[in-house]
Amino acid sequence: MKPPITTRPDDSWLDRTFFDNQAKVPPEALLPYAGRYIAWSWDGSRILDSAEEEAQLWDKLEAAGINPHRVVFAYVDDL
Amino acid sequence: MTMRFQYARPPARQPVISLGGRWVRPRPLVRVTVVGPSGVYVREALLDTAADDSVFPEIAAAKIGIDLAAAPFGEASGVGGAPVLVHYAAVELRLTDGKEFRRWPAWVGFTAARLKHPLLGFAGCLQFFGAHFHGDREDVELEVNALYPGS
Repeated sequence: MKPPITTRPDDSWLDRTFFDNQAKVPPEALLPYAGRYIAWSWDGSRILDSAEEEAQLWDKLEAAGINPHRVVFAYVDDL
Repeated sequence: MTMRFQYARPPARQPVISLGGRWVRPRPLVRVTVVGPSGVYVREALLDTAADDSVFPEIAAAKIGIDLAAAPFGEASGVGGAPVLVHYAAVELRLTDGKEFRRWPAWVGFTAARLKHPLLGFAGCLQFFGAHFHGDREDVELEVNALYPGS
């Protein structure tokens, strides 16, 4: 099924690339981010930034000129 | 048509005894998009069959243009957590596994409480899907049901 047509340029859908790339990241690569909120790149290949609180992460992304509506937010559990 | 999501495998700092010494804790985390009037919020969220509602952080509401000042409010709870105050708003939710694409209107809650993982609970999400959790494959399949209101 093709993605439905969207009306805003920042309104695009994640595609298969995100899932394929994120699956290649080994779990241990997330350990430095344990207990932090992270932002994945839109293609799932890397972590763009992290912060202790999600609101801080929004601020950091915006300050860096990264569109927060085009990242994937997540939290890395400290297990 | 079915969407299939591989479980996330967050790393553990020590072997997980209950999983035979594995170094990860597989969890049904999926990437959901919340669509508001002025933007989208894409987030890894937990499919939680014990959660009454679908709940997201309040910061996201503000960032995608949802005004919660006059929104109806109530309490929502998930497994292992105390009930939290939520303000409800109507949004569009989207899920995709990269092959299938689903979007539907939903009432979700937003909370100021610190959420590690937003919850995709019964109201707003699981009420519209059949969910099959495959422990052996460590993935979950979602299939729309007769109540599904979206496309």
